[in-house]
Formats: sequence, structure tokens, C-alpha cells
Amino acid sequence: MLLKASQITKRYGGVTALDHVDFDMEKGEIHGLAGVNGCGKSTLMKIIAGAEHQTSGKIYIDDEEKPPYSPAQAMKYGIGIIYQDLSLFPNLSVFENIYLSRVLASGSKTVRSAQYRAGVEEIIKELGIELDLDATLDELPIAKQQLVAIIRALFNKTRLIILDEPTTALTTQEIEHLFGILKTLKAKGVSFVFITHKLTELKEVCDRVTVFKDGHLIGTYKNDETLTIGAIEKAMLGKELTYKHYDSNSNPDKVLLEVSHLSKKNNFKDISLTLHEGEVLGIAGQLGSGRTELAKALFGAEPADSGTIKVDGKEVDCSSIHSSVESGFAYVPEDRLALGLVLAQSIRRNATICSLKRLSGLFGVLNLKLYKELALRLLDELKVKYGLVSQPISSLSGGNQQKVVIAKWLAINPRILILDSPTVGIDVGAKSGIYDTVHEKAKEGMGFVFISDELPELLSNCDRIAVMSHGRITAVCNTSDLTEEKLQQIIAQ
Amino acid sequence: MLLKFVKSREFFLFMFIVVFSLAITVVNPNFLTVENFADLLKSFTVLGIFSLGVLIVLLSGGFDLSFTAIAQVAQYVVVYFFVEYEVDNVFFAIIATMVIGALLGLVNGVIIYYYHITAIIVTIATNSIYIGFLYVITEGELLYDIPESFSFLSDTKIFPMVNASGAEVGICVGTAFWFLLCILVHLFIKHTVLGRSIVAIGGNQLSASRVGFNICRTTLFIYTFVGAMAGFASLIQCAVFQSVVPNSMVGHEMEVIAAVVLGGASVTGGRGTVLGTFLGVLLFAVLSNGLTLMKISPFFYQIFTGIVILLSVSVNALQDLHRKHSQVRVQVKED
Repeated sequence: MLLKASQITKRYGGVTALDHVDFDMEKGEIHGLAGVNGCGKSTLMKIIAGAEHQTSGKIYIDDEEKPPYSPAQAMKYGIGIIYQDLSLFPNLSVFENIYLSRVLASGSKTVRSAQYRAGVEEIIKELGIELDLDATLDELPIAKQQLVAIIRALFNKTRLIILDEPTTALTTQEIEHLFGILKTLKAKGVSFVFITHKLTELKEVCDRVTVFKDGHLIGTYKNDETLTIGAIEKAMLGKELTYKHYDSNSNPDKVLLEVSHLSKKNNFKDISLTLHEGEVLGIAGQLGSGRTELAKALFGAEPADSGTIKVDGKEVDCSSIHSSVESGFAYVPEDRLALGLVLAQSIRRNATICSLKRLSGLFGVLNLKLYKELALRLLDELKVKYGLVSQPISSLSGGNQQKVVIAKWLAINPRILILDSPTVGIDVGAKSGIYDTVHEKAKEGMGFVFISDELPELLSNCDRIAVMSHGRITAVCNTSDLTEEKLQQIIAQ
Repeated sequence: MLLKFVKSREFFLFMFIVVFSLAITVVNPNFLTVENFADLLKSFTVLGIFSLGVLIVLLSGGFDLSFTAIAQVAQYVVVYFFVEYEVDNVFFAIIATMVIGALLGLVNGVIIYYYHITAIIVTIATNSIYIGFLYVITEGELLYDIPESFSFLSDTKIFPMVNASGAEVGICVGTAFWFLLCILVHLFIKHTVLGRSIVAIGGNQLSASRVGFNICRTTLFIYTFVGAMAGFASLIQCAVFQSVVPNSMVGHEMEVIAAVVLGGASVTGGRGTVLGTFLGVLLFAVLSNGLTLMKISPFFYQIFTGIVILLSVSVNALQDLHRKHSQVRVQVKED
């Protein structure tokens, strides 16, 4: 056994992040981890990588018990973790990024890089990829940077590589390529822990899947025909998510948004679509299909080069976020932590951040009474679960944070709300809460553009679904004519 | 490789210096003489040595505004005591100013690392404190009695030549030290683990600590190094001017930082070269000297340096904008 963690418990103050968890890794295995944010999977990986130490429990490496160790020691054991941010150096060359930790580990005071060249080139050759070692790292696309991180781990003779959500920023082809490399390395005896939110990826590439929930290990399953995505989901969430059927609120006589021939070089081309009042229009398509880029263009964050956008029949200006918001757009971004929230600020400030202008009077002085009332009303309306409004927003669960992001926009009554993957990584309760809110507001006439990877979610919520591929809209279908299989087929075409 | 160099900041600066030098020479042929160049380099040696310290701190993603105050203190203390106790040895003086500078710099480093306070704030504060103490204790008194041996740095020439009127001309020892330091710092940055750790921390401090770099030791080293460079520069300054004036250097921090930034160093860390920094300082020197030789009011010097900085950073900014714009996010299917 390459690694065995036995009865690991980790407490932070009074909070138990991991409760008597058993976990093991075989040589040459890809082991998937699933669970919503805060379920304990990252904590366990940090303990295995030496970045955190367990409160109790034992870790065995090659069947030998090891006392809690440092990341540097973990590296000597052959364990490495590749964080989501990759932990590379954007200003250094690819080559130096790869060999630098090796120099450090050698204890040498000077750098003689020539001796590493052959070793690095051999790894690259084995992987069958092309990589310019002398390029500066930040000149490479993110997928290549990820390969650099993997090559660095291999160059450090890492036998167990922990990949923390490696596919989040990759396009479909890049993901396929990455999986190919993982399989090549697996055949050579390298083991991987693979953390992801996308359950289809677990099915595709993993030998075993372990599911966490609330600091407990729910189970470790062999990935064979009997393991279904539904079963993983059920283990993750405690209960199966059932998708309700919502009645359409779409008013086919009133066109709310009309986009014609919208194009942006290297992003999307010739996009034309309409959205009716009260309609929920889904956008499906793989990562890299241009769907997020389209959303950003409508929101004015990265404006289109050409084409027209009409709201209520009048052409509007979407050349900046400010003018898009004035035109009636609002946008809930995919990455809520980085783009949707001011994490260190309070729940109340986050909820009211878009409404400050409306809440202030003469000389821009904030009306504190209105401000406090609005915050309470919004949080109440979206059924956000919180302790005190003055606590930092980071103290909330992912689902409640997302509700606050939506609430801050609803506060200014946008005409069109664009939701980009609004339910990724949040719990079942919060998910259905968000769906309910969408349909309540649709009833009032608000239009929604709903981008998602989860097809059942789109099928349950949307009146129509547009499919994007290679920067273009390839199909627009009425949801009533679709099944999940059929939609899947259209997307894959 | 060649193309990369042609696009580099260093090449841009070099071309600018060449073009500007030619223009000056056309107006005043005295510009391109050994005598003038040696003088020009001597008067910018202090700035040049300061700039090496600043380069290191910027590379690491840090900042320092206190190095001129450190220089003033080191200079005053050393000259005062060397005169008081009649020690007339320039090499002791070099060591003494560098040690005093290093200690004061270390104080910055300790505060910045252990209290996690932004370097710019810490060094604004210590700048005030260091220079304030100097004023209070010395009551602003000037020192004109400089130990004789110090002129070794400013007057002794290496490879002396004789000009038409029979005077000895050439590069002075202080300037030679500057060149030597440039080479040493370059080798240090490129080929030592500590040097690479400075660059790595400037690129991404979190990554650096995860890989196992010792952030504490490196931070302390960086600010100590700036202090030591400041101390050394201060000694050359007093040798050149043959006086110690407690406020002769404070207030000139921005000029040094401007030269380093002009040389391509990024204020957000991780980028910068010794060659670029050297050329940045040289460009300032040529501009200043050239304007004088062309009989243009020295007041224009500041305007010119400002324009040159804006121009050179604009070139990079435009390249970045272009790169960002032409980046392929989506493989758009064409008709």
C-alpha cells in the first residue's frame, strides 16, 4: 500500500473538520474525491501533503507509520500536491519553475541549471507533449501551466500527486488531454488523487471514488458499471436532488432582450438570440464554447466588437459594466469567491453593495435606516441563513454566499439577470432555494439567462435552451421537446 | 533569441541612450570625451549604487523609501567618529558605513516580516525616524572636515589617461566599485539560490513558501542589503562633495526608484535586471549632462525624465494590451 491514513481527525478550535476518516492509496491508482465545499476533502489532502497536521490518527507510507511531517518531508516521501492556483512562478522560465524546488531540496547555495536539462526533457518526451522550456511561464495558456506543475512534481520524483480541482479552468479538449496524461502516468505507477466538482469526470478517469460529507467519509466505491453519478450525488448531498417542474412564466408577446449578430474576436461569433419577459433561457455548451464570454459581453465586462443589443425594443449600450447595469443587466459570475463577493466585508455590506446609490441622499450620504432595512429584507427574501449581518460573508456556507450574490442584484430590480453556473458546489437546499427565487422573479417579468453544466438543472428551470459550441449558437430548443440524452447529443455534436 | 532582445526594455533604453548621445554630440562635441563621460559617471555613481539596493527590494515585491535616510545616518556617524578619533582609513570607513546601513535596514526587515506591515508604510516611518534623530542629535550641523583617505574613492583614477591640457582623466575608484557591484549583484541574482528566491518571492510569495523557500531569511536579507548599499553609496557621496550635509540625499528616493523602474523593474515584483537598472541610471545621467551641455535649463531635466519614464512604460503596456486582446479564449469556428 502506497499510503494509508487511519482514523484521521482534525479539529480547528471547536469545529471538527474531519472525524475519524480512513483513506488509502494504491500504487498506480487514480482516486477521485467528491463532496461539497467544506466537506473535509481538502483538509485530508492538506494533512497527507504535510501542509496541516492531524489532531489524531495515523498515516502510513509504504506500510510504515510516519509522525506528522512537513511539506518538504512529504516531498521526500514522494507526495506532492498541486493546488488550484498551481503555485508556480509567473515571472520565471518554464524550465526554472520545474527545477527550482529540486535545487532547494539539494541544499546547494548556487544554481547550476544545466545538469537538470536532460532529466526534464526526458519527462517531457515520455509524456509526448511539446513545451518550450525557455518561455516565461505567464506566456503559456493555463492548461500548459498545469502540465508544468505536473512535470515539476514528476521531476521531484513524486509518486502520489494530489490534484485539487485541476479541470476548472480547462476546455474540453484540454481536459481530455490531461486525462490522457494521467492515464499514461498511471500505467507507469504514479498515483493521483483527483478532486473535482464534476462527477462525470470522476466516472471517466477514476479507479475508485471516495465521498465526503460534513467531515465524515461516506464511502469509498470502486468505479464500475454499478456506480452511477446519481449514487455519488446522493452520497455527497445526503439526499437525492429532485428537480421540480416549474410552470413557464414566459410572455411570448413581449420581447425583453434581442441580441443580433453579436461578435467578439477570439471569443464568439454572430450570436443572435431573443429573451421574452419572464422567460428563463438556458445556455448549454462545454467550457470553452464561448458561453461565459457571451455573458461577460452582455454585462459589459468584456464588451463585444460588433452587433446590437436591444432591451424592450430599444438599442442599448453595453460597452461598460456601468452602462450595461443602467440598461438593465445584472450578472452572477461563475467564480463567486473571486468576482461575486468582497470576502472580508460583512454580509450586510455585500448584500447592499449594488444599491448604495439608491440608499443615499444629499451629497451621497448613506441613509443608514434604509440601508439596514434593505439588507434585512433581502436576506429574508432569499432565505439566507446567517448569524449576524455584521459578520464577514466568508462565515457563510457556499450556498448562502451565492444567495447573497443574487440578492445584491435583485435589490436593484434588473430587467435581465445572467446566472453563470449559479449552483456549482452548493448544497441541495440552497440549490432549490435559488431555483424558487428564479421562478418567483420570472413571474414578475424578469428575464433570465441561465448558464449551466448540469443538464437536469437546465431542463428543470429553462423554457428554452440555446446550445453553444466553438463560439457560436448551434441550436435553440424548447425544453418541452428535450430529454437529457437528446440535449447531451446536441451539445456533443 | 535575438528578436526577444530587440523587444526588450534594455534594448529600448540602449537605443535611446545612443540616439540621445548622438544628438548631444552634434550640438556639443565635448560630450563624447573621456573626461566628460568619467565626470558624468562619477556624479551618478551614488544613484547607481542606491539603485542596486532598490532593484533587489523591488525584485522581491517589496519597497523601500528609507534608504536615503539610512545613507545620511551612516555617513554622518562614520565621518563624525573617524574625524573625532582621527582614523583615516577609507576601507574601515567602507565597512563601517555598510555595517551601520545594514543594521538600520535590518530593522526595516524585522518590522516588515514579523508584523506583516506593508513595506512602503514601514519605510516611510523609519525614514522619518532615522532622519529625525539625525537632525535632533546633530542640530543640522554640517561637517566639512572629511578624512583625506576618502578621496581615494572620488579622485583616484583606475587606468588614468592624460588629456590635451595635461590633466589626468579617467574612471574614478568609486565608479569602478559601482561597476564591480553591478557584476556581483547580477551574478548573485542569476546564479545563487538566495538570489533566485528573491525573484521567486517577487513572482508569487505563496508559491515560494510552498516550494520551501525561507521567506523570513530572504526578507531580512533584502532590507539589510538595501541598507548596506545605501551606506556604501553615502561614503562615495561625501567623498565626491567633500562635505556631510544631513539633508543632501533625503528627498531623492523617487529619482532612484524612477531609474530602476525605467530600467524595467516592476513595482509589483519579480521582474527587473541589473543591466536594465544600469541603463536606466545611465540614461538619467546622459539626459542631465546633455541638457547642460546643450545649454538647456536644468529645470527641464525633470520634465524630460518624466516623459522618458512614461514613454518606456507605455511601450510595455501597449505590448501587454495587444497580447491580451489577441489571446484566443475560444476557438471560434469560422464560416
